[in-house]
Amino acid sequence: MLPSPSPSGRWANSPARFLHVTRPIALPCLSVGLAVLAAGLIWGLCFAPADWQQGETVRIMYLHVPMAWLASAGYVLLAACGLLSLVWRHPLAGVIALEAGPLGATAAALCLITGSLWGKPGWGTWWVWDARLTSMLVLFFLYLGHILTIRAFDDPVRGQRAAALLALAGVVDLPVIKFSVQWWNTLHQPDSITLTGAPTMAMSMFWPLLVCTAGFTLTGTALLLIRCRAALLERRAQALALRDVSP
Amino acid sequence: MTLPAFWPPHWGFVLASYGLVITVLVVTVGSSLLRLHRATRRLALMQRLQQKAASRPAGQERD
Repeated sequence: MLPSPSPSGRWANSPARFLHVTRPIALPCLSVGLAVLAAGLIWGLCFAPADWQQGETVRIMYLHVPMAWLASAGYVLLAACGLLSLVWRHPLAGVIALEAGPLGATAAALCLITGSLWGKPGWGTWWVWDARLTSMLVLFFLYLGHILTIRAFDDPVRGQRAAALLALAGVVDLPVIKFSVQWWNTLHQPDSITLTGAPTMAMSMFWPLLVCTAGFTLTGTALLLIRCRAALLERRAQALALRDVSP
Repeated sequence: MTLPAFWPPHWGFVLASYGLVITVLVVTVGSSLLRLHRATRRLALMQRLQQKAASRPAGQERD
């Protein structure tokens, strides 16, 4: 049985709880994330070995792979928020979806741009309509569609519901991105890291990649918390201002 | 082993990638922190105004 979205229920109190819980977390998480990220980027740029075939351009991997991971994980979050918003009408889901969209779109855009900068010296072209690249471009457009849809309605609840439907429909793109290199003969290389097997890259490249991914994930999470906090505080201030001007 | 001649170092591509990502990161972190700071200040201001209005003697007109 679904919980009722009553105003006095505990679900409706989530924004206040969220503000209370995230207050001591957000800024330390950002500091730790930036420190880990700085360490990973310096490691990848200065100390990790160059690839015997790709040379120095392999260092773009330490940006490109975490961006692809963040873009995909961000969309999973967006879809989860869509489900929470549509089924349970969770008051926080809309706020998180509103703030996660631009962050995910930025990650997807950076993934595409760094991939293009990696592809030019490697493949001799900036872009190719390869299954992996095209499905990633579709993900970027899905993010843009979500950002526009959630803000397109005068009634924010209607915007959230429409954007939630779009987010849920767009989930089908995620397995296409993941398995595109297996399903089709692509120019993009197959996955070097899988959950089930050992990485096919050298460990001297794997560790800085892992540190960069952890750094970007922590920083992205902290940014999402900070932006959600800001959005909730803005709403509170606006509500107080409206109460002040009302007769 | 000799490095293939058609793989020059291409440091320009590497530095362009790092420069772009770090710039976007700085802008995103800076704008998010600024937004949080402004929202916190605005809410504090609104709460002060509310308290002032609540402590006003009954029957006194609002400006």
